[in-house]
Amino acid sequence: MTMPGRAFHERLREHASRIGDVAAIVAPSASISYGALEVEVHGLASALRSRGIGRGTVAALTARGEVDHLLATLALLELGVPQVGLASRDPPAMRMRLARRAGATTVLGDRPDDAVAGLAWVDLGAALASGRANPCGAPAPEVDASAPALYLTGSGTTGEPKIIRFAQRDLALHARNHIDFVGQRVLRPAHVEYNNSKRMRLYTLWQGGTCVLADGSAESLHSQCARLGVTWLELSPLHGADLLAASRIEGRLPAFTSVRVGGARVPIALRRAIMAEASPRLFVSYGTTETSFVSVADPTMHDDRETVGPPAAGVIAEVLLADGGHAAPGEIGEIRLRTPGMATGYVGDAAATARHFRDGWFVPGDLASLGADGRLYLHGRKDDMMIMNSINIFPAEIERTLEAHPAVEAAAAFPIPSEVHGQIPAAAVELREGCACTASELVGYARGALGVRAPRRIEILASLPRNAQGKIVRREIAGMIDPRKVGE
Amino acid sequence: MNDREIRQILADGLEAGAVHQVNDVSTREAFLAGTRDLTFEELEMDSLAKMELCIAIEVGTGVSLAPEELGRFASIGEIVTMLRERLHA
Repeated sequence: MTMPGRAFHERLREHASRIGDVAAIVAPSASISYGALEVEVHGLASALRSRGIGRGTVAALTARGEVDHLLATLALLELGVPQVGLASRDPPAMRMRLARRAGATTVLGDRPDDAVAGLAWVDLGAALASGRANPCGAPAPEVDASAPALYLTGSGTTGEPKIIRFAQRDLALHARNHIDFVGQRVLRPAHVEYNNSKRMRLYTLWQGGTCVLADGSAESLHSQCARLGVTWLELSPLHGADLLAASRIEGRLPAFTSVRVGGARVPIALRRAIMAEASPRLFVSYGTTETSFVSVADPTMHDDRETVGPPAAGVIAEVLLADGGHAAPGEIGEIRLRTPGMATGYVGDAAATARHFRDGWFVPGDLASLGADGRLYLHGRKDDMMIMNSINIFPAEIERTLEAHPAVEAAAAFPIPSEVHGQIPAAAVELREGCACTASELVGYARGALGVRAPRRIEILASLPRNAQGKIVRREIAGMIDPRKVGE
Repeated sequence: MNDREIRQILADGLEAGAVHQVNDVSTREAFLAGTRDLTFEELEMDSLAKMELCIAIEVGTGVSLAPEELGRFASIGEIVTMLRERLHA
């Protein structure tokens, strides 16, 4: 389907000549065909060159408009200029730290207050206008597809986010390995400033699909999918829950819209509810920023074990036990991954690189099992695994069990530190609206299902703490409750 | 924390360790009311049951007790006394 190893603008040029009339970008403000996209990107790249952006530049990009952001990303790729996104929502000190860690020399932004002290400043709006006025410009420079092109940050739920560097060749390999978006119209409501949203748009364009951008529109997902012919809707679990709530008012998505949810655990209750009330074509995927796409579970695979599907072609996934031996089918261990174009380390963080990149493998710190059916099953983070009196206890098992209770909407397991027992498992839950249940009832229920691996304490919270991506932040829960508190 | 609350934690811990004597309603109620003690001899607790009792004590009261330390006590009532003294010290 694709020929990795080439620069992005060469791929766009190929699309422009082959499928030039096909929409590359559909947004409330504009619809851009591949033919027009190639011209617009080249015009912007020329305008940026005339403003001093080129060899030796590392660009820090801040663009609130999704179309402008994507055009700037593609123009920087055409110039072979490495880029890092500085999210407009982040405070100035955080933006400055990230820009410095990535070695940025120039900020390309759409507001003067996007400037970072000590770095050159280029106004994106002016460059866009200039590029449109003079779309031909100078020929694109020779670009080394194996040179650094895109700096992404990890989720950053703890401490300083890690920085991951990819070349254009890597992005091409990711795109080739990803779900087939050829001829598809792909909507991912999360803003392009989020790393994975940016990558998904790049993969879609590499493949020749259509990026549908919400770009701040207040229009409902259901309406956008119907009106714009969205065939793939890409969501986080948090957005998945929002979709479900909207479906209870607006009904099902159009018959042609498939839904993919990934980025965090997708509980079976949410899977079943989305399939029943939003779309029966639900796909649940697993991947990491470092490896990109790893696996996807199709609509026939969803059951209580919550698989994320078999590893994709080209992906090697192994599950290792603590002694380094390979886990038997169904046995839980730590997963390690090899994927086409995966990262080889973290920028400026040798310790984290040594911890997660070993012998050509990426070790994300996820606990997993590979079933006899060849499918991957996730059991939480290794860091989150509890050991009580030499018994390994997996948070995901506790959470799945509690969420199978009719009164529980969501659950998160965490340890109570103990000098005697190591870690005593505990959990916090959110109840379903209108449901009543006591913590003691849930403790008894969990004991009946899990025996010695059951949480010894369960706290009922109004809502579990989540980060911007919708992931439950377990470390915050432990601090929210008094583990010694007695009573309901 | 009063005596009944302490006894409730211990009864729950015994139940978690599958100590069948506390499933008898009259025995349990008498223990909770403080009118009946439960000796370790009559309870015949295995190592798993002792672990569960110690975990229940730690989660419920914050007092750490290793299973091997249970040998210092002849009955659950003695543990109630120890906990009362520790918690109110």
